Amino acid sequence: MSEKTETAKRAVNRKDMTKWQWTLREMKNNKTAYFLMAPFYIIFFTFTVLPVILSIFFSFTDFNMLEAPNLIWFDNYIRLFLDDDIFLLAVKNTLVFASITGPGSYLLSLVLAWFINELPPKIRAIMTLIFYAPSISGNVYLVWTYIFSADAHGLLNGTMMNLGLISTPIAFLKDTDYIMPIVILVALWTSLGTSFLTFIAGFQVVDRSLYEAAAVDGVKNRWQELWFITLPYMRPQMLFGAVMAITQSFGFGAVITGLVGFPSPDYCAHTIMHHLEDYGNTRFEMGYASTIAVVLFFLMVGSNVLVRKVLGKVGK
Amino acid sequence: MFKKFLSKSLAMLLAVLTAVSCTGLPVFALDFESSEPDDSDGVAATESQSKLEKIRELLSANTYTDYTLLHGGAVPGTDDVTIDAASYNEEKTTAKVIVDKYLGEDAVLIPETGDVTWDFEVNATGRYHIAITYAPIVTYDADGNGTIDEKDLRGNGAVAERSLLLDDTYPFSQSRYIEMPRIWSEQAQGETNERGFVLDNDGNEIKPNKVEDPEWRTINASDSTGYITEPFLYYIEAGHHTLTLGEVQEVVAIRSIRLYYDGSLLSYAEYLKENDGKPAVSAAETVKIEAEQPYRTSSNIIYPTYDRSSAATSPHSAYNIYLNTIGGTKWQTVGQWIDWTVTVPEDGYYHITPRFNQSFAEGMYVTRQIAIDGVVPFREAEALRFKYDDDWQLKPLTDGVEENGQERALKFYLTKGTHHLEMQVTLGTMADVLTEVEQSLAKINEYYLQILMLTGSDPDEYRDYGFTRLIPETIKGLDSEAKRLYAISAKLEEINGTKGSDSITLDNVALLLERMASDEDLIAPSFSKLKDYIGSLGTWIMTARNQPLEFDYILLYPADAANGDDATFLKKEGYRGEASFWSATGYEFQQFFMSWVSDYSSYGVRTTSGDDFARIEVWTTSGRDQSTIVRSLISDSFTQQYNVAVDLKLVAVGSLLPATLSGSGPDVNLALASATVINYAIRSAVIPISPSGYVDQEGDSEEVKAHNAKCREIFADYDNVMTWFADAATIPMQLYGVAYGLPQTEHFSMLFYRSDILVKLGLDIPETWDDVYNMLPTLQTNNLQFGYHESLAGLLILLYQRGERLYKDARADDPDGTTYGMQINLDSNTSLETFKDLCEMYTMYGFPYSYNFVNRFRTGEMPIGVAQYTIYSQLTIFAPELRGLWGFTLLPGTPEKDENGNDVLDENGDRVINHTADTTITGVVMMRGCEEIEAAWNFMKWWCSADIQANYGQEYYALLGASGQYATANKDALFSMSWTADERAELLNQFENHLQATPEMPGGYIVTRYVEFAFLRAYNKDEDPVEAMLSYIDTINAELSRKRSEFGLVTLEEYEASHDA
Repeated sequence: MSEKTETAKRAVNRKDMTKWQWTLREMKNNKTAYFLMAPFYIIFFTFTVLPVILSIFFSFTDFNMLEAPNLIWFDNYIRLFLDDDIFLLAVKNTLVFASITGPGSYLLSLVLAWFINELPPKIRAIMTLIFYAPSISGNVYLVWTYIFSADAHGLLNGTMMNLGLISTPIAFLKDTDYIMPIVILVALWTSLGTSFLTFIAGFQVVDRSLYEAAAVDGVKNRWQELWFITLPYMRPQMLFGAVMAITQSFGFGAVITGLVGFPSPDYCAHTIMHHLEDYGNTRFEMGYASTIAVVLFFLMVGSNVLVRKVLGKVGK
Repeated sequence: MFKKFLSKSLAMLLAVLTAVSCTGLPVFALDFESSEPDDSDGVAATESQSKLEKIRELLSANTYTDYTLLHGGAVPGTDDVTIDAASYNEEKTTAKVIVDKYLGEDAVLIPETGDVTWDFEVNATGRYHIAITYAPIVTYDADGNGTIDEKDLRGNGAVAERSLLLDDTYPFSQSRYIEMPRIWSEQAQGETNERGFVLDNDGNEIKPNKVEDPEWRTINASDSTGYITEPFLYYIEAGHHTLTLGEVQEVVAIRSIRLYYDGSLLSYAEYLKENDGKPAVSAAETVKIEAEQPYRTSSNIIYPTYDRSSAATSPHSAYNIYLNTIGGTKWQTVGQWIDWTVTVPEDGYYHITPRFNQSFAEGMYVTRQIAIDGVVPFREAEALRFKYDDDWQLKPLTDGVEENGQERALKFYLTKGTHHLEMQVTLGTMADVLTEVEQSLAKINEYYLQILMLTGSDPDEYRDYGFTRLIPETIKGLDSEAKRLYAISAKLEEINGTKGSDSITLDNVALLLERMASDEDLIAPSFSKLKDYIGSLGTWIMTARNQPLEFDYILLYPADAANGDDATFLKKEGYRGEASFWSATGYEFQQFFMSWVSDYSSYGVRTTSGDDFARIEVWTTSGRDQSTIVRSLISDSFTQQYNVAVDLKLVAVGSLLPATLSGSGPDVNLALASATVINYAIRSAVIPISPSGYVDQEGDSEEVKAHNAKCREIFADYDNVMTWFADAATIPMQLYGVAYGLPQTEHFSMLFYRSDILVKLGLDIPETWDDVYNMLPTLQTNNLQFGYHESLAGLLILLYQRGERLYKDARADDPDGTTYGMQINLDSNTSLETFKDLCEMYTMYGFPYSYNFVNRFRTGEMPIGVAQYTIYSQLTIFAPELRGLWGFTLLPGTPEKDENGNDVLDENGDRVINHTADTTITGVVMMRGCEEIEAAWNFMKWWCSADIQANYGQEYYALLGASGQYATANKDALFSMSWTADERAELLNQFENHLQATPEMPGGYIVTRYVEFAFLRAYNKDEDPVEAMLSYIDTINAELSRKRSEFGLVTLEEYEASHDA
């Protein structure tokens, strides 16, 4: 009781102090919270925030990784948008790729999670593992290189030749006609990752009594149940899933490289990630690569904002 | 109604399927066609024909087994003939031999090439052993001028091999390879401790150098693969004969050759009976021989090693490194021996008890043969068994026969005085098994080929090929091979006592063969499986052939002293296989604490002035095994020689860049790809290593000038060092006359061919690309292929053969040559034509685009093809069944033309053919910020020198086996590896005369990329290759210009602008 009165006595008016003084005071009061947050924050800042800031800085220089950078202001941006055909191609590829695999994997996760949720618990656990496994098994997508191998002894070529459908092997992973569909297929296969698990968890936390109430209120079928109750109820999970799906779809560079090599024939599966890698690793033009990274960063931020807007409409 | 519809649609579907499969089916031949060798090429073809001639001979040759079947009934020879080597038949001898005193005896010194023939008379018909008294030659100064030059004899460090012919024919095929190993001993460099080892600053024992220490030794002509454990018996009729030692590899001195037969070896029981009644000894001191101090060894990779795993190893220390063991995986190949000397205190029977480690061949035993003073005392001593155990073992020598529930300890009768104990790797009872499996494998391979030629590599499961009608013998053969493998598997089970994984491998193959033989319809579906199984059989043979064994020490004590219980006796004497629990724990603890304070990087440093020595840091990205070898080479050789401590770090690929960026990089980095070297160089992250990189510029400060002068001095021997490598190897490490790296590895392609298949098809080894095109129809009718590189790799070979370069030459008015590399040359007429030819190989001539060369070569699907020469060792090891049935030679070439389009002829009237191959290099570089430039430069030179590279190659090979082919860039090191004379000649020819490298230029990565794009467009989309290539030229040039302007080099646009004006 006495403590409380003491605090009350000391209470000061916010208007009496500058913003800085106020912040400092608040921090002092909540120092335990700051202390607890510190380990994560320091690591997060050093390895996530700082690199982003640094790459924004480097995007204005001609940094080549081995010698001191010179400031060249907007040259990199000008070149990127006005003088780099392959970047435009990469943007196109990325958008095509992301707009198919992003929503694709999202819907796939959602629908599969919904179906699996209907199964008895034991079978559900097994099915979950089967669908989730590809995304945690590292480079397991490389099994597709065997399936689509250009070798006459490759799985698909071998089978088709046995059936007499083709007489010479097709270089699936080196032929611009086949590459994009194949990488999209593989990306969808590996993409049932974290968001899929979240959905399954989300379906299970929906309050059962709501369904009964809804039935009384006149919900007629499962679709309405899904749309008016389940989905709005698990909006946080959906948002998380969407963010994951979008980010993932921008970062499938490694899968594509693993399948079709780097760079892909005629740049037909060259994404912004690849373009970044090309300039960063092969050409040692870190400044330019940073520029690409910055553009990619804002592209991702933008698409996240868009996704939030769209998800806000769910159930309305 | 519905039924009708169903049957109708089914019929429709069938019809469509039939139609489709008819059009799409691969062409197949009912019987393989053979065309007569094309003789129209005249002189040029003779060489390859003679090569194939040899193969034909080999294919028809008898094996030793056939030979003994034929002559096994003959009586043992009663005569004893000794041929004095000096009295050779001068008329028939083709080698330029030298008769002289060698190691104190009259002998014939035989150079690597040419045959030597002797005449001899035998008075009694019978079967004879042939014993050769030989000595290896290190160097021999033939003209006595005190230096070793071309006219003198010089060994390459490899095992000497000769073929043995009687009356100008090979009696049997194994007589083609008679091995005469080199003889090595250890030589300590400096003051030694009482154990004969030199100590470093910290008191660690340093590995002594292995030096060749030739002496006269007598060997019986026997099987070099070890499959026949007994020495060969040659059937010789009474009368006059000739004996020829034919060239295979290496120089060798021969003193005499003896034909004799001394009766079979005694059995152990007979041996005991014979020594009955001789003086016996009951209580003499136990004699201990430290195995790491042998008298001689047969190989330079058998040297003292250290074991720190056991507290019972003698001697051991947690603080210092003691070289306390010998052998292990370095002592595992048939024929390798170690010779120890021992002083026996009294006459009598002794047990010989080694402390050994056989944790290598799981569930099996390894075999050794013991000879005392060069004589195997009894038959059982030919196959001593060492059983598998995780721990070190201390057990008397045994032949594995059980007495009273345990393996009996063999007794050896030794007289007082000094004796030689020689332990040699043999295959023992595994020899028969291996012979059988290998023969079976050869047969299966043959059947495989017959089916392959009928069906192609991917047979149609649903098709009736009519195997029983077309190849009835093959079907029968499959069945008998199945039976044979089952029998071998049973035998193996009997030998090892249990059914191990070995037997199961054999059973699996047998089951498959049985099924294929019993049901014709199963042949096509099982065909690809058969191929896999052939592979696993080959691998099985490889592993079963290795017999690794590590020795710590050997004890010698009276047989009676042990009183039938050796274990108790030894424990009482204080010798144990494994340390007791407490002493082992104590030792481990000590080691653990010592690991905090020991400075492993300075192991081997010996200076008088204490800690005053230079230190450099070296990074390597190779595997852990490789880095261990480098580590030990450094401490055994470099550190001792230069007194420079080397901190060798094994780092992840890709860490060099960030480390250099943050200034914590190494001084020297090993094996960096040439493109990376130049990439780093133009960004000044690696420093020049040629004096040309240290030219004073105007306006340099005094300090810089002094530094330049110092560096010019350090790197003054650069030109000299570069003579160690092929000329081509220096190109990719240079940029405009300044060198940035020493070549470490070098890869290039050669033409591999399966001679057995080519002979069968009546084809010759192609010499030009036209020959290749001519042989394609025959190959393809038999479902066989030719393998070649696609994209840039394939293009460069063809370009260089036509005398074209990848970049346009430096402009005439540019004295520095810095305009080279500013414009691509792929738009020249020749280049475009070449590119078109390359694409047509794939689009018109049906070369396969994607394939696994080793597999297809082995199975015969691709009997000829261009591949990296390092494939050689993979084939040697993984395809033992093909030994002698394949070879490699110069790439198919392009005849040189003069300006009128006629062939250019050399002085003999032969066409001049350009066989150039493209080569790729990795190099050793010195990084920016290196302070000990001189020490680092010494290290780089040391590492790239012939001795070290050869050593590394051998160690690597011994450790990793097949995958361990090390493609060194050092000329001498490459040729000191074990090649046969033929192989060496081919390799040398390609290496020295027909090699070209692609210079690395700023922006060069763009070329690889667009050439592949263009190639793929032509291959996948049937686009015109010329159009496809031309569409990328501007982009390539633009990228080159962009990169060049980044580094302040003159670009194409700038050059043209300045010359227009």
